[in-house]
Amino acid sequence: MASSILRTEKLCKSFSNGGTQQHVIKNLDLDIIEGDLTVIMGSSGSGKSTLLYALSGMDKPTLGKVLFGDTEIQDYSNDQLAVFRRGNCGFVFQSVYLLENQTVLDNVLTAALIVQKNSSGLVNKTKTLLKKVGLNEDDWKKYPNQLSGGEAQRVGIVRAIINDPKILFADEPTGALNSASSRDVLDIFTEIHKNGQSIVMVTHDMKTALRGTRVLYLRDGGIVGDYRMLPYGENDKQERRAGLAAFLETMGW
Amino acid sequence: MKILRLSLFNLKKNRKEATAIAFLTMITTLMFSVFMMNLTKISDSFDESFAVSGSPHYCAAVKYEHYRDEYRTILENMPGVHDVTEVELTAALAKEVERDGEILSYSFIFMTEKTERKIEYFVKREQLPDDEIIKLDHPIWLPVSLNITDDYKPGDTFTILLDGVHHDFKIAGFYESGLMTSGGNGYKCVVSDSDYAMLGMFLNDGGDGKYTALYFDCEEKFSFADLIRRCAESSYENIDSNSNNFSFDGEKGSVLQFLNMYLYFIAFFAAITMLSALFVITHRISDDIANQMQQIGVLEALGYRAREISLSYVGEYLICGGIGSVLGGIIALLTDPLINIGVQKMMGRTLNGSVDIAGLLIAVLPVAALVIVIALIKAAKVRKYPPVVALRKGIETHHFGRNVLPLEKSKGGINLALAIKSFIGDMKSSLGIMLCVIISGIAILFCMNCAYFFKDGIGGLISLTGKDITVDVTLMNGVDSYAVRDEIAGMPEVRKVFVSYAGGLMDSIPVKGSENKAVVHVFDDFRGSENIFLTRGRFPEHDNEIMVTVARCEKEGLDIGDSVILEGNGIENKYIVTGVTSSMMFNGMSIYLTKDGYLRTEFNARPSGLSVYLADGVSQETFEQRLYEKFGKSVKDSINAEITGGTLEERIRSAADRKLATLLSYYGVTNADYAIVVGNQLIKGNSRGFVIKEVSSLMSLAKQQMGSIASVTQVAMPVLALIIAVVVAVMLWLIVSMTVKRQRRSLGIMKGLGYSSKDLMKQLALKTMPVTIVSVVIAAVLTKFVYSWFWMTMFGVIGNISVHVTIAMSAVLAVFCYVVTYICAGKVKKISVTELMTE
Repeated sequence: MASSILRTEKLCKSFSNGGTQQHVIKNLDLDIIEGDLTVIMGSSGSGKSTLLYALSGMDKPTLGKVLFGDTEIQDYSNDQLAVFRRGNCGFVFQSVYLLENQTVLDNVLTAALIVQKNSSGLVNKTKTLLKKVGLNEDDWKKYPNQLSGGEAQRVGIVRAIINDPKILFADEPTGALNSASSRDVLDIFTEIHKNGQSIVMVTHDMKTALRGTRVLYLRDGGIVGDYRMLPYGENDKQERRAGLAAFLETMGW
Repeated sequence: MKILRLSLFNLKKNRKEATAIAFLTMITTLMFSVFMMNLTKISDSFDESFAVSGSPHYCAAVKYEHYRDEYRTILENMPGVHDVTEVELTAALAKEVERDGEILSYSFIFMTEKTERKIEYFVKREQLPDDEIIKLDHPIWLPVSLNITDDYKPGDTFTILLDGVHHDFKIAGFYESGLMTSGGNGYKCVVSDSDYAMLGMFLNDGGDGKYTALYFDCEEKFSFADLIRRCAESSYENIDSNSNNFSFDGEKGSVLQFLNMYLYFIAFFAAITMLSALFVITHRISDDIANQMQQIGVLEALGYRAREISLSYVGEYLICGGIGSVLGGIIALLTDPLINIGVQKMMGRTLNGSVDIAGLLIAVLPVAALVIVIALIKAAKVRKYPPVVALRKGIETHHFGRNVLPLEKSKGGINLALAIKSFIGDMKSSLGIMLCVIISGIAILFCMNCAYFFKDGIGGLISLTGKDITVDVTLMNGVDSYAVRDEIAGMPEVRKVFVSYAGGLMDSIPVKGSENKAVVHVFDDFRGSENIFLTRGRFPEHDNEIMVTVARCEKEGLDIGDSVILEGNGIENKYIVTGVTSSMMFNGMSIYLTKDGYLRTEFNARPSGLSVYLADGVSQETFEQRLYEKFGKSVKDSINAEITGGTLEERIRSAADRKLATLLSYYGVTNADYAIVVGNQLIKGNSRGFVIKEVSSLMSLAKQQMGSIASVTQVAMPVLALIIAVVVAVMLWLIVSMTVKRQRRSLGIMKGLGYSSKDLMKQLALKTMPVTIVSVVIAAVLTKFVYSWFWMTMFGVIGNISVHVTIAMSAVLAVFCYVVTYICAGKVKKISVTELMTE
């Protein structure tokens, strides 16, 4: 039986807004299973991104526990969380967030060198990964402003996986891309997942969700639906789509 | 109105930065105001107090016995000279004054009230009531400078020690005097006729004694050298070494020298702060424009003109610069009375207490104007961006050059690599930081070197006197100096002893072609000296060789190998310059000759005494005690000695010795014998038993003249260094704040990637290190030149920085910059990675 890689117990996240408390995540218990591509869906304002950031140690929960394996991270200081993230997590953002004053290669190495020592092996690995996502040698010297949205996101993915994270978080990774670029990016995610990478991805796009093995539906700060699919490509496309559609329909999506 | 609204909006948003800029502007204005308000005030106050005294502007004093009536005629016939008044005065050089058990040293010029009224109005200030003054046995009127500077009060006892005798005067009051009011030129004191006559009896050695003084005014700049030359042509006697001169300019220079020095320090520091403020302003406007590019685009799209938007930036600095300038001006106004007290104390003159509004405005307005002009120039950049370009964040201007220092080739830690990348990518602001740190560094290193120099009080200054500060033993006439020297040399309290020939102000010799007489220092072998250091060349070894000072070289264009002609006793002797030394005593106009060289010009010279170098840990008092045990009491001490002894004969001998000492000391007697018959016993004795006339040291004079300067500098310099350090810290804080704001997005991303706040703080701090280290090194090198220029300009000596202090302080400065930047970079802690992601 697959083991849990990430777990929450009674997780709560509130924001103070002009004196009133806004409870975005409420007493949430959740298990993220190792090797899954977990997709978190929900309507706008349901708390998807908030949950992702709380799970990944980007943000601290208001109450409750976040357990990474056996390690509780909810009480970590900001710097402890940073150290935790660099060793365990990778991130892909909707807005990519590449460092504008650095080349493609340096953007990836900036993430790598905080964890690993500089070596020809690391540089080769970076270059191999960049090649793998379709970025050739000419692209490595480019600055983010010289890249298309799809190219930039591919750099973002390489940057996220360069340290072989135990879990990869992605927040609407195709949200700002056209359909062709989206497909390319999702193919990369699928490829990574097939290699055993645990992924947690927030999306509101069904095509993206179809790449997942598990779909969680969030409403009013709580998980209201948990749907399991077979890995992408292992069953009939139509069947998968219909199954997910039916699940989402029951969720009121 | 809408521009003001935009400015206020920006100000509100950047409250802390605006406060910091206002602070820098305030400090600049404050220091600049202090400089401007006091520069003219002290000069005017001196002129006013001089005018109030009614003193003529010049005085030529010739020793009474060398004065001739024709000198007055010569003076009266010189161009522009008028209102010549001839008076008699008595000089007392470097005399001891006892105050609360402490011995101080002053030079005095004594005159009677009648004489004083001939040359000045005798304007009295603080004084005892007239009925009390009448009752005083020995009233003395002192110049107001002794009231202001040394805190003497009317009614105080003023004890002057002459040849060991305590002369107690009562201070009747203080009066305004023009010339002769400072430690350097001596204090002119008014005494009663009887006291004046009494003092005349005591003061008859060397430079002491009666002078005939010609007070006068002159329409044009007067040359004393010309007067001496004309007198010599007429009388065939060179009176140079038997005369003294005083002038308004000389007095003013002497009184204001250190005040002006401190004021120029303050102006220099104001310039540093101003430079930092302007750099920060230019940096910040550029940053604001870059950060608010889209906002600029929106405003332009809404119909705001580029001029209006740029004026909103200018308005921001007009407000914070204006507030800073006005606050600085107000603080300058409020602290003016306090500064007046300090200035008055250093000046020794009544300071005009009125506020120099013109000086204040001259300080405040340019500072505010400069801030606005710089802001206008930088804010004009907005015009470069039409709405579309601005909305695209000025993408047109993006330029991606070569990737300097690619990370794949980086060595060492990633934080260092990223810091260096960031430093190279932000070279323009690095150059600005560099300039500010270099100038601030020079100021701090300069101050700390000065503070170190004065760490032992006047010890540092003593090392620049170009004269060995020894215990000087004056011997009785006829005593064999060399024999006594040999005996003293054998004392365990003594390291070494030399026979001295000259070294006082009155042992000066005219130098041909020079306005500046030379004070001669004579050594048999200069290698034995301990406080005379060669700057270049070698010490004189032969009778035709001379060593001169750096100041004389600068003034008269002399160098090694040149010739100097000394004029003494109606003959001229040529000497070759073999060496150059650094000496601040006697305005740096000393010369150094071997004994034989000195005797070529002053062939009648006899040894003037012994210069004794005490063994380590031996005090002057201990030495004196041992000396008297060996040679008997000095004449000076015998005058005051109690009559002691168990037997009648011993008491008679003791009383006879005291009588002999009085005769030798006061009445010019050189030799005396006595024979006293008591019953059938004959008691005989003579003055040949006295060997020692006086024991003294220049140290107390040095303490009186330079002690206050040393203590003020000792305290003021670290304080000034601290102020500059605060300015540097504020500047760095502003730079880091702006960097954090500008790079907020990148820093947030880095946090997301797993960089901790500490990593980012380290990067930001390390980023400034290359520029800081280079700047500090440059500052250390430049300090060497600035320091030596300062000492040369101020004192005519070569000032060498302490290598240890400079290296240590440079390291401290670099670490300080790192720590301040690191602490200021703590702002990155506030960057929330989730806020950034959800924007």
